[in-house]
Amino acid sequence: MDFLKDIGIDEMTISKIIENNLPNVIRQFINDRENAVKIILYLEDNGVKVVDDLLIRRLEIFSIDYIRLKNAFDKFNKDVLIALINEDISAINFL
Amino acid sequence: MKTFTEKLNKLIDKEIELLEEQKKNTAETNKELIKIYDELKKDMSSLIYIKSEDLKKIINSFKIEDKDRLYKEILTIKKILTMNKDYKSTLRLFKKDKDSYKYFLDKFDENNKANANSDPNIIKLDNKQIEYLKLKENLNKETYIIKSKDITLLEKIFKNNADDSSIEILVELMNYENDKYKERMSKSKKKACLEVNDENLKEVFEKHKYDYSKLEGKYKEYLKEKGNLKNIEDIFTTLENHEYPIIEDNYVLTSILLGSSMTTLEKVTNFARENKLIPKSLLDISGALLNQNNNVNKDDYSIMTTGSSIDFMRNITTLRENGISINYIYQGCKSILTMPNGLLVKNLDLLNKYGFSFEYKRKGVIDPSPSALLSEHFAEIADQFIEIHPDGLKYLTDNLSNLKTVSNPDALMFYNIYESYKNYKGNLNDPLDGPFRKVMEDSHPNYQLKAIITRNKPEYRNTYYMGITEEHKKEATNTIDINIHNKDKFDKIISNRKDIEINNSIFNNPYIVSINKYIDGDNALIYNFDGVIISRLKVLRIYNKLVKNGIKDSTDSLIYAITYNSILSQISYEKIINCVKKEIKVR
Repeated sequence: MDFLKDIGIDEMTISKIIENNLPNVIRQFINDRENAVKIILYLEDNGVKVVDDLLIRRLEIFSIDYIRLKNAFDKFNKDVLIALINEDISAINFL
Repeated sequence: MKTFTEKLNKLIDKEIELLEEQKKNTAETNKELIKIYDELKKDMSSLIYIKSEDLKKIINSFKIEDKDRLYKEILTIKKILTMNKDYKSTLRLFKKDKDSYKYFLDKFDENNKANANSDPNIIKLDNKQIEYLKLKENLNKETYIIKSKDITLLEKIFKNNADDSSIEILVELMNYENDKYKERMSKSKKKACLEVNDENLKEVFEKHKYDYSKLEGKYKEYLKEKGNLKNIEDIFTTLENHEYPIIEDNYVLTSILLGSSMTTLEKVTNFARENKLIPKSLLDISGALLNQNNNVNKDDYSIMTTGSSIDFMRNITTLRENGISINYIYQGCKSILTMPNGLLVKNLDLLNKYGFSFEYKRKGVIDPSPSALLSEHFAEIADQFIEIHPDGLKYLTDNLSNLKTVSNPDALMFYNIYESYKNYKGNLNDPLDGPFRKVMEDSHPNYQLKAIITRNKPEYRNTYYMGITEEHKKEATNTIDINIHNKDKFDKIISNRKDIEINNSIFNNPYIVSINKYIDGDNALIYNFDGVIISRLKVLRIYNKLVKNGIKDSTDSLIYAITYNSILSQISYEKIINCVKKEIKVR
């Protein structure tokens, strides 16, 4: 998971990711690491303050194709959606 | 250096000496026999002075068929001669006696002459000596491998010298041979596997059009340390045969070369083709190509080689049987394809039991339902949302992913929801009233939790809703730790997470039947004990498990099942007890 450290995700989050997810989910995430990094950076750039939470608890969504996710985001009023996500990470399901 | 060698050499020398003694004795005996023959030839009456048993030995050594008959004849002659001497009898020897005697002498002479050249007894002893000498020579060689005939000889040596020091030597020898054996085995195993080094890896990579130099250092180390060259070769060949594209990702490539096999690749690729998945798409879920290993370890190497080939094939079948599109899952939540099949089947069953539907979102990219299938605590979290707030089930239905994102039924969030409900005035649009807010999604109201409840927003992270902290959540909310008689016993049974099911027979259990009157008229998923909402599936599941493990029907076990994991005040708890005792008393 060194690729996560390289983009500023801290050790505590990384160990919680490993603790809270099935081995096959973690493996799939690493398999899709390039895609995952793009999503992480996109979310952070757009003001999502709960990326750590999303990684720990919804690791599987980082395997969804980045372009599809970005296009879905672009259809929303980003400010409102991101505010909702920052309150309750379930709001990411709006995408 | 072998410490026992010198001692063993001495023992072998001792045996050789003994054999030498025997050879000398035999040679002496042979000389004696020649003397005896000469005397017997000169004078038949010398027969009188030869003991019968010696006579027997002499005749037994002849190479003739009729040894017994000859012995009897010569013995008769000896008796006649003895009687004539001792008793002055005049018994005569007939011609046949004389002929027998002549025959005896001829054979005796024959034997003596033969022994003079090469006594087979001495040859035997000679050969034994040679064996011991050879054994000694071999055991003193470092690389010699002990054979079974050596063991036979050694057994003889140790039998003849059965004392403590010999036993010590024997033990040392056995340990030494055992260590040599282990060393030989590991060498031959490595040899059979062919040593994996940069050179031969480079060769195998290039043979299959892969560039070994592109592989990062740590992956090369993994291959050298844990790889099997033959397996790697077979895997490359199989990938080519099935027209897999060149695998660019080092992590994926290395994991396949270490964790897969020709058989698994064949099986999974063929299975995928039958289910309309092309090889390229399998590389995106490469865990499916690795040998199934039910891994639960989470170190780097274990994660990399987590193999789900069998789970993958079973999951495809399970999803099809449940009418779920494989392509939909592949696009939206790939991890489901490689998750443990047992968990997938269980969660699909729970999804059904709790009345949640796996509806595909018409549009959109992130679907909460597949995430729910990855939950390891589905039932417990569902139960808690049901019990904690009248709108808890609504919130959960709108956000099924919470079944995965929340993993602890005793999480602080639930205490926050509980407390905020206590103060709820019923105005959902008031941001300060209650734990939920309504968000309109395509004119469909969707419930979301407020930041103050989830404490996700950075400004809330260092504050606590209504003073509810992890250490004081019970006191802050005025909820209790429930103590029931035999609770520890029940806890032990329930903590074994295997087979938490609901058998049909539990519906007819008299104690369960007795509380049927409390099933909510509008929602069969809940009991309503005088206003206290309890998840019915939870009660059935917990009580079923207790009964299956031999716990007799009782008020205690029923109340345990009802209040399991529930966040309750004293008043709510007493309401439950009163309702239950009323029914049990009546029965």
